[in-house]
Amino acid sequence: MGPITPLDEERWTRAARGGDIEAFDHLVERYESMAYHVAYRILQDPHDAADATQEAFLSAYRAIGSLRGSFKPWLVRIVVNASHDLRRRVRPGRTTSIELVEEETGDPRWLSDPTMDPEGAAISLEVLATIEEAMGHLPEDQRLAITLVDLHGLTYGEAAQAMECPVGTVRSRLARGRDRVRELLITAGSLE
Amino acid sequence: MRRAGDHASLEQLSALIDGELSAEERGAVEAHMATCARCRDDLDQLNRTVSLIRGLPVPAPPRSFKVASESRLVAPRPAPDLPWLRPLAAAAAALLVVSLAGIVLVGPRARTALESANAGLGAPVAAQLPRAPLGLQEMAQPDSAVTADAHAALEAPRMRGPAVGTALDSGAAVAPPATVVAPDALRAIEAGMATPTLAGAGQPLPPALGRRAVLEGGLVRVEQPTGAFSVADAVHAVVYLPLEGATSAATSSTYTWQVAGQREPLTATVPLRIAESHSLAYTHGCALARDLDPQASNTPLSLRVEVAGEEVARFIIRVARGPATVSPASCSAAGES
Repeated sequence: MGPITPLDEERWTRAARGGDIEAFDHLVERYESMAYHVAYRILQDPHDAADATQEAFLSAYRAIGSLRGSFKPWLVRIVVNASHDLRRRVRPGRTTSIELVEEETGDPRWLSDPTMDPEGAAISLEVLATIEEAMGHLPEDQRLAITLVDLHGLTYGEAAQAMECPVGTVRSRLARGRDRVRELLITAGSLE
Repeated sequence: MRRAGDHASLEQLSALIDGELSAEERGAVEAHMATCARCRDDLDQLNRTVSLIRGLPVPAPPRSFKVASESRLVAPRPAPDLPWLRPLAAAAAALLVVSLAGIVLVGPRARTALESANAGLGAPVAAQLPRAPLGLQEMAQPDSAVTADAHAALEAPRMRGPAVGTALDSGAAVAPPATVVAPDALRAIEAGMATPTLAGAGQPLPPALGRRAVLEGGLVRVEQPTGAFSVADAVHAVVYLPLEGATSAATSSTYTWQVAGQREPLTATVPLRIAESHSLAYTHGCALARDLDPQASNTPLSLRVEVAGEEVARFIIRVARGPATVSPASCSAAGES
């Protein structure tokens, strides 16, 4: 498949809204990596992330008729919700206060994930580990903002739509999250 | 990075990196930085941090998530609906009815109890059986598979709550009583799905449930326990769920009927159906009482209803000898429009 243009995406979205499942699967193919990564960053578990991603795409397909605007932030919103739903099911009664998030995500499990390929990373393993640890300690909102904007190129507007919050909130979450990572990199000696 | 006074704020520096400052704000920040070494250093440090973050590898998805292979189970809804935006207040309600006799049980969903009851229940390993064995009929979709669980739930029945003569919603700490409503009530509920809701505290109940149903803490409760069926009856189970959470993503439900004297329960996959109101999903499963307990031994039998791997309702059914409460007993005579 050649490069995907916005025109392709528009065409697929339109066809999918008309019930064309093949067209929808083009969108799945285009965004499954992002969707899985977003779920992964929220749930921090590869199996849960895969389950949430599958549920999100099924849910998106069922609801595609309601889509107004662009597909990407709309899909992220569904992935975020599916991840939260799954967490509620898997870990009932747990809340997502900052303290709990920090407690639960202190271990950068991602690093030991067999699906990860650190060799392909553009940064050293040591720095990678530091950033992962920092990310793991961030409140989920900040981690999600960084994931969407820095790792998947969403604009602030798209991230706001995906996170259901004002643009100003995205801006502030992103800044605070980046600053926290910066502090940890300095502490680890990876940044002067 | 604590900033104060005339310096550019952390948020401004961060947004500057992304090109997300307004032209006016950007002009002001850049003008300030031209004369402020500290802000330039801070921006540089933040810039390098962002570059490192952006160098993080993205994990490869473990598999494809294409939905075409699931197409039998899903279909786009024709009208706009945003279930994931719905408030979470809605309660699930389960109804167990005798065909045409209209015994309706509505019970609360006790999530915590459900999940503890679920603990240790392995995923059913389904072995395909010929369609509709023992008269078990699956109401909603002709091509849905009727399967038998290879690992019978009988090994570890997890029935809770009152036993004799009580149909109860799974694992609930307090057994929800049931009520008897007129035969038309069920049809009214089904037919009138577009208007009434079982949403939550303060929401109107389906008129069919009448005064005998009360809302308590957002859950529906009705009076008079039941769960006893005649061997000549058809047992319909209807489970209503709010369109939120797992339900909004799920496409089908699984009915697991325990069969007296047999290790293997009967398992049927039933599509989730969306009520016209779009505020509820519901499923409708049915089995003939004589297939669940041919000897009419009055043994307590469980019926487990799961959506997206989560048990949403559990009933205890007893089948005793005696004349039919309705005639004819059929799985196709009631409940379907």
